[in-house]
Amino acid sequence: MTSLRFTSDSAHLAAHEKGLAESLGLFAVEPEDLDVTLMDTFDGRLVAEGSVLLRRNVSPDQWELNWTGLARDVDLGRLVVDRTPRLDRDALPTGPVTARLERAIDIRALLPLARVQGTARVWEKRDQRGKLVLRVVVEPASTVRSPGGRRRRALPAQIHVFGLHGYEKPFERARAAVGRLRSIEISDRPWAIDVLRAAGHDPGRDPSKIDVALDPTAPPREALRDLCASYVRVIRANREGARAALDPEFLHDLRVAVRRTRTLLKASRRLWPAPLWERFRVEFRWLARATSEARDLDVYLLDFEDLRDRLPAADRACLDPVHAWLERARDRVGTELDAQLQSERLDSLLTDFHALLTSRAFTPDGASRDESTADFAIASLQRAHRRILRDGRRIDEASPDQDLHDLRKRTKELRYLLEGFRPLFPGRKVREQIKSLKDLQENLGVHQDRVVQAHTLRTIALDLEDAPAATLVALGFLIEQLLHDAQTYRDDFARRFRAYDDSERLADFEKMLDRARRADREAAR
Amino acid sequence: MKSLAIYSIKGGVGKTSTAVNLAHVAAREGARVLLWDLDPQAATTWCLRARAKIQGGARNLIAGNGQLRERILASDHPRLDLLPAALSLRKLERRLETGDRARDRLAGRLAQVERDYDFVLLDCPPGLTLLAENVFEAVDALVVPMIPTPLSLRTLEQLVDFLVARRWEDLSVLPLFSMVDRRKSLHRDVVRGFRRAIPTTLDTAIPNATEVERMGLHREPVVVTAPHSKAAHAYVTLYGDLVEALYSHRTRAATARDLRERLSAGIESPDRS
Repeated sequence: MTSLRFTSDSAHLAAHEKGLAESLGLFAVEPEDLDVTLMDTFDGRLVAEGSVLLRRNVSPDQWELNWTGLARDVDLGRLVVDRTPRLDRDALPTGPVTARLERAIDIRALLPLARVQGTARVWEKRDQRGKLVLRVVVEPASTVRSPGGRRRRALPAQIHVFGLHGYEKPFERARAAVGRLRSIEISDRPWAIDVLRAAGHDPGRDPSKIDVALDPTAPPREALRDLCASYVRVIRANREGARAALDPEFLHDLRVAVRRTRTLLKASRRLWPAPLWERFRVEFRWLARATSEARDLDVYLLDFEDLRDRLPAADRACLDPVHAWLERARDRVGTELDAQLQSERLDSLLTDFHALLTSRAFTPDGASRDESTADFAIASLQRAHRRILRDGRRIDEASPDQDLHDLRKRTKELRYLLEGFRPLFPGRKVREQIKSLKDLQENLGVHQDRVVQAHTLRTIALDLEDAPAATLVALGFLIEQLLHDAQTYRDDFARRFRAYDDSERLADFEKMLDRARRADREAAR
Repeated sequence: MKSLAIYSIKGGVGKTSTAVNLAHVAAREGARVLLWDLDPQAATTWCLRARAKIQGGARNLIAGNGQLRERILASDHPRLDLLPAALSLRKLERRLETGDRARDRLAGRLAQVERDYDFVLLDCPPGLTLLAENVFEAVDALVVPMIPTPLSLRTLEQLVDFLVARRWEDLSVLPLFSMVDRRKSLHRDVVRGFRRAIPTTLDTAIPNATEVERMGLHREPVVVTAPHSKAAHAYVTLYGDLVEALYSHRTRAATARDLRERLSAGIESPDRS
């Protein structure tokens, strides 16, 4: 559908409306109450792909969700859902619209972002067969509120003209008629973007995305400050969603930001005053531990259907008691997590860390006077890379599983450093390095996950004393399968590590560092 | 996108009313729907107040290189678009016979709108023609309306035999009872016997109703003009049956091969029931 929208000052609106109605031969139809809440995922997945959900109340128990283009010109589908505090894919009814929406939002919940209230006068044009060919909607005054009503803005009076596919001529005539109007402003931004901005949002932006520009020639303290500050921002942005368990990604993104912070702290130890470094190391370790059990349970619940699919179709219901056990455990751990995430300890950690990073007093005393950010990044990456090679080469068939787990942590550290310092390494080399690392990480990750999953299922089996025999038999079968999978990945480790330890990749890693080193020297001149 | 053909070898079994109402309900329930009127009689086009093209276009669209999107019209109903019929479709058979890749022309055209719609419903003319073979090649499932009479069931058997013999044995076939008159014992008995033999028959049966006949007069779907009628209610539940058959993990639509096996096992004769 084609559309155009223009704003008008209230004094001229009635004249514009009347002028269009007369020149285009429009007929007024029933006016509409405009009361919609715009919804998207926390990371703005719908807006990023050009759409938004409009939620309306249809009954005390149900909402209507209209999935539309940002200009309200493309109708992507409609759903009626039960009102629920957590609107995610599990709350959507089976059908074609849900199937598409699930692909767009994945495991993220849909959150209310802005509520628009007002009235709309509607005009239509029909052809000689009575067929609708044009629709005009006049919104004299509407108000935008952020959820909770903390922020309130008025939208200017506006007129939307909607064409219908296959009936382009009436729309072109309407466009020409609008062009003849005075004192109007044609909007080049979609309606939803204006609404979201009025509610205080940055539409389509993912608050968990790290986007820090680094100056390779600046002292390392500036890179430390900017990167750590952005990690703290991500922790803060995800804190409330993780507390309320709105969806599992809040906690996941919070934990990744904590791990990035810990990795950078570890890499920059010599730059910090020792007591401060030790305090923050201990505190971020506490935060990582305080959030780990809830995350493990989230992963079990997310992967549960895959686990269930390992059983023959007739036996899948046997795992219902296991699913219920996991949900109970997640609720229990969620209460503890909520307490930790709203604790004064976390408040102080984030406030003190951020205050220190951004204060003028933050002058890490270990840095030599002429060390640049590029020097620091290169040294940190080399150290992390060397550790992976050293630890990986030591692993053989007799090594305990813990060695593989430790190596996985080292690969994550290198990946976080590569991603953090990525602006210093332009080109595709860094992408290739991250990809090689991901291949190795996948092997180590799946191995570790299967070992831990088998262990957890054993714990659940022991805890479910009164479960039906079929459930316990199914658990036994799954534990055996998971351990078999773990062994398969373990057997494949040597091959994967050889690929990572390959001379060509090692040379590429060095080339990537050399290029950054040269660029730093040239910039310094 | 799921593509469904409302198809029967036999005429006058309620294909157009099923296509128009089902398309409307699917759109009203939230799906994006394209209703393609493949019948040169253009009854679907008429019912949605659009104008059938007199010549060109539609024939070229399938047999030539025409672009589907250029010919699609928005209907008056949200999310429901129409590809109107054209009288030139009468000559389509001859064009298909003389062209290359005669049987997969339609499939190529549907691929053009794969991302635009949740359902494409094809309202097909009756008969086992080359156009019908294009339809079998292109769609995910056939919805086959049948009046509950032995003769109507016979045409389903003919269709299924044809599909199996011509390599469309994996095509999903969803039989649907249409124009059912509950006062007639023959209708009741046929429906009962058939359902027992073919449990995957769509649960809903469309009643024989005056409101459906009046559709051509009002030029609106029954679900709009008589929303509280039994017929309107039946189309709403029919859509639910289809979503269950196509999207639920619990059920699977029967293929032509499944149906043939069941039909060869025999259906209880109304005389014996």
